[in-house]
Amino acid sequence: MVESKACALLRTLAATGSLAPLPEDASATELAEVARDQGLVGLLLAAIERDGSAWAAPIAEGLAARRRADLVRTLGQIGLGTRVLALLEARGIRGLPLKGAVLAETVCDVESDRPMSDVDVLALERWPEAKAALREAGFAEVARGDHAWAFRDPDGNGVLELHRSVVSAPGLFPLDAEGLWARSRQGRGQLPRLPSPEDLLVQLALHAAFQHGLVLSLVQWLDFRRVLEREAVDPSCLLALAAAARAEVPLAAALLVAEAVVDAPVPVRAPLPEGLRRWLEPRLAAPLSFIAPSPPALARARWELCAGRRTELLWRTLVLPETPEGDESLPARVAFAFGRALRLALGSPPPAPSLAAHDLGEPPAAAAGAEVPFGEELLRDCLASFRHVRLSVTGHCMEPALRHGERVHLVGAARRPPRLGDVVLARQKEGLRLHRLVWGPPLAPSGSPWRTKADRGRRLDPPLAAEDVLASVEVVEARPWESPRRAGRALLSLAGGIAARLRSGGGAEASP
Amino acid sequence: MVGRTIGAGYVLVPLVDRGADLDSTLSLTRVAAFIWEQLDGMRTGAAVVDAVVERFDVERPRAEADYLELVETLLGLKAIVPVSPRGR
Repeated sequence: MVESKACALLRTLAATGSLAPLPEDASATELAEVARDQGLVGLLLAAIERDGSAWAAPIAEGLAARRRADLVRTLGQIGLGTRVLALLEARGIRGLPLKGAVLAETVCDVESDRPMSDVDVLALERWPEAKAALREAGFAEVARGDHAWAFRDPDGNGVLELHRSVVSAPGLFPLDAEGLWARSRQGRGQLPRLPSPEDLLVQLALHAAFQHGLVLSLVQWLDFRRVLEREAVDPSCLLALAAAARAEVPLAAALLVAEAVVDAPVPVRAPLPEGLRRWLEPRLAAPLSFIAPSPPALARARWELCAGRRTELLWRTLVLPETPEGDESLPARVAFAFGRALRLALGSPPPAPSLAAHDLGEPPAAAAGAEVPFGEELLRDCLASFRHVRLSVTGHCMEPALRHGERVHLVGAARRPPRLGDVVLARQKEGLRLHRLVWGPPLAPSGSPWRTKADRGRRLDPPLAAEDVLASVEVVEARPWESPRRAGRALLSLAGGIAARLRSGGGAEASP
Repeated sequence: MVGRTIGAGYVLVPLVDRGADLDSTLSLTRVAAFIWEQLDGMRTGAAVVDAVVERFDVERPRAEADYLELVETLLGLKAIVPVSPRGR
């Protein structure tokens, strides 16, 4: 069955609650895989158990196992969000959870119905101190964005995104910190406080429309329906909050698409700018175009969403409150803005973050002789014992080959010897990294050092021995048909790394 | 789920499609790991608690509380299922 057929079947399930019969040429296994990618394992399993469809029997056990795993993971993630909120509160910093964690605890029957790649917490004040609080508590920074920084939990519960604003281009949609806090309500589960349903909807709409160009997974579209059906949403309050956040258009657009995709009961309708209406209308007739992995027309979506505010859109996109290095001075911000404008004009990717972004474990506490970190030891044990190991990618430095939050299958080096072009899990001085092997077998002479590099990085990683490469990525779950191996790309990347080294005067280390 | 002893720790690892899912592991205390290993579908809860009391030299109420807490967690995760006496 092609993926779109599976996606269409699941969309109907999300919209109507009914599971249509599986077409004759369809594969139940593929349907289960798409359900997993779309975050609808629980919904599909419930429908299968309710209907007792014979064709679904072979996948029911796998779906149940997945739901159990999702529950463990989601509860751990909510616990992580709760700990971070307590950490901030201890410093007198107010924070609120965003999106998935809130939805899992409020509008889902069980937390596993709302799987998420990471946990989002919004710091309502004192952003620099909030970041410092996480660092001092042992959180390892793994990626920086305009609106949020990602940190890995030292206790192993995944990645937390600490937000300064709901979406990119901070300030474009003003954040009323005092109002958000005043309207927030007491949590019913682990999370101490939750945003009001109306604030939650505005945040979901901004995230869907502005951050993702109106292309989301099915479970994310289902969020709208669940909130609108299960929370007491006050339409006039919703409109007033959207107006205050200058988010009327993103809200109207997101609700319109949620209605088309999952039949969300839209409580308010606002007029759309003419350009956005013309762009959306033909797409609303084909709702699958709003479901990932359909490619989002992000720039076009943002342009249309910001009709009448496009100068501000450009300004807020280019001139950030601080540079990625944390410099808040105007000259540094303007210099960064020029660099970013140039890159956007040339269509080149942004530079790699200053920290390596694929941190899968804490670096050793000391140099030689230090104990292997618990996470790495577990990883080594599982790589040796099982056919593959599955885990989530964090960071952006391997995009588009590996995207933040994607799940990959790693196969141990003993089972599948790494080859040039593979994305490999390697032990670097700073910890474990998923980077591309740009110099290694079959080209590297036996016994000579290997080299790795992030696809979006400029420099080669330090030389490493073959035994430091633990595993290679066999498959990216979201795109099982694509091989992550790219030998040509590896050689180009190697050449780029050598050139960067030569330009910076490091010629002595230029050879692989 | 399978249990793995890693150094001084014990971790439950879900198995998915013949692979280990490291996104969803569960770390257990020493007592919890011991209880997990006793859950073979044959022993009764009382027998497991007896074994905990004997192994860790703790008061029975404390062992019962530890047992119930873990079993409740594992049942919630559907990592274990109740077995009727007839089914044993």
